[in-house]
Amino acid sequence: MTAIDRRQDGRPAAASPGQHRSRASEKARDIAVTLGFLVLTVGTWEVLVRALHLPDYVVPAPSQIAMALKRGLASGLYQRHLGVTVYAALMGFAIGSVVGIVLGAVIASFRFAELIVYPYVIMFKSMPKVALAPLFTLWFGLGIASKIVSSSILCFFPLLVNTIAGLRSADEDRISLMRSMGASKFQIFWYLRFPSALPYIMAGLELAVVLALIGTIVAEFVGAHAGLGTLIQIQNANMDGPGQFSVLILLSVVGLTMNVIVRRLKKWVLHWDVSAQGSDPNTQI
Amino acid sequence: MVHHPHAAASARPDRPAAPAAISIRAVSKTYRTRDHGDVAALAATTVELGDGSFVALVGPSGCGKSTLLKILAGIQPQSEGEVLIHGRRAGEARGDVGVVLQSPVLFPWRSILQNVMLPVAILGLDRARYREEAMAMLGLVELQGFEGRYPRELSGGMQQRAAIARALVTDPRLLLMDEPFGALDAMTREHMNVELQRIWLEKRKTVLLITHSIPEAVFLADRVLVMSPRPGRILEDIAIDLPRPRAMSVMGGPEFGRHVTRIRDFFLTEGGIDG
Ligand SMILES: Nc1ncnc2c1ncn2[C@@H]1O[C@H](COP(=O)(O)OP(=O)(O)OP(=O)(O)O)[C@@H](O)[C@H]1O
Ligand SMILES: [Mg+2]
Repeated sequence: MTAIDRRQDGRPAAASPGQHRSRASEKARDIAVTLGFLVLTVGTWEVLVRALHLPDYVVPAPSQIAMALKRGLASGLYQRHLGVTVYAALMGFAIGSVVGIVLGAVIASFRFAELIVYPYVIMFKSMPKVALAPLFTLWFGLGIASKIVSSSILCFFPLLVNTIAGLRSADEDRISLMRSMGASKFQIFWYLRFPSALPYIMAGLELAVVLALIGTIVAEFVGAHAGLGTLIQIQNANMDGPGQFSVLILLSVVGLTMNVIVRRLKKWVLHWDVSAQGSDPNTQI
Repeated sequence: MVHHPHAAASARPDRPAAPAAISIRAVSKTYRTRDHGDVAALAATTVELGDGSFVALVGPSGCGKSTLLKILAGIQPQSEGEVLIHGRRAGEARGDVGVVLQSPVLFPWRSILQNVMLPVAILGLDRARYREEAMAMLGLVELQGFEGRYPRELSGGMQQRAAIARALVTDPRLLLMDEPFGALDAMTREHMNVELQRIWLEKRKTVLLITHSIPEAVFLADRVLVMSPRPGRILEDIAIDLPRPRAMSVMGGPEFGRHVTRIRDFFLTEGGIDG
């Protein structure tokens, strides 16, 4: 939502200096409202925890969480685990997405491939893939491999399904036109089907970037030598409430960063697609 | 007025016999559908289009006009018969046919220049050389200055003009147009008719124009082919001998009116509803 969307006061759209000032002050007021509410919430939380004498392993106070975050970062402990988790998630994201896009393209282009591969896709698609994590740990050990496999499996499906749907969405008239120009099957793919699929692929990537982190954390919960998921389990066993909350904050920052990067990428790739330009509400899990 | 009752493939006495650019011999099309069985869309049709001539094709909705055009464009095969475009079969005449459809069918991820250059990319031609040609075509359709824009930034009429530039860029000898101005408002459409005539007088392509507008057909064409309802066949082949360049004012003239009335009568007697 930008300031322009809210201009329903019927004034002409011509920009005057006065209007610039009022727009800027509107924005400052918005930020003040948001920040004000945040301060209020955190303050209330702090006061309630202290007043009710809640044990910190159940609900820690914001100040305790901040201290835990500071300690973890100062010792370099958090960075070490963070690096492991982010690396695994990014690898899983990259591998799962690329394999999904390539296999999707093969299935959409060759009927033979569709006939032999698609039944398995349908079967696995509806399965909760995180349930495979214990098996991956068994097969690939407590190192990075089982996490990458787990997160790439999660990323694979949205990309596969969206790529197939996207490649098939190519407009019939555009196909006709390309045929009239004497385009080969590959040229129709390259100049038409693939660009037509890009909005679908970018939507798949937006889903996958969230799933990549989920896949990694689940694998770390099941068993791993290092990673933020492992850290949370250790802290949980040690009844370290502030520690767990501080890692959760770290995880949401990582998730948000990855999300923003993918959305930037989407806007850049789909610069020609008006519907991709809006600041869409983030409704994903 | 010379009258040819049935699809004249013969030499015409009223003009010098131009070499046939396109020869359509007993071409028919039956669509095989899963739900409705066989649909006979086009009855055996024979007609020749002279090199550099402007031919309009009119007929009731659903009579098979687009079907014939798609066969000529190599978009789909005929069921029977033979099509020769400058001696080559339809579909083998790569780069020799430009097509303009009812909607502009531009590619939204390509700039206007890149859209116009699409046939060049597909035919693997020299991009640097054809870039100049593309710019010239954009000038011809009065879109200079818009080459860097994207289709969504252009109005419908501008997009359609870009589509015409794209159809012309590789200098095909045959231009096929399927209701190219059908989606435009009346004013823009008249303007585009005048523009198309100007482009044609300059380029002298062989043009086959499908249209629902009888005045448009008479205004633009040397010959108007009138089709019967589905399965379509050519009922009439009418020569339009109005002098060129034709101004919009010819539409008020008596000869123009006579042609329009005559063509409209076919629709009435044959049960077509259009026109
Ligand atoms: N792909 C298809 N499959 C089955 N039937 C088709 C197909 N395309 C066209 N037809 C049928 O063939 C007939 C002729 O269609 P066509 O599109 O050539 O008509 P047209 O003369 O261009 O009509 P209009 O003026 O409305 O565009 C119609 O009855 C239509 O339903
Ligand atoms: Mg049609």
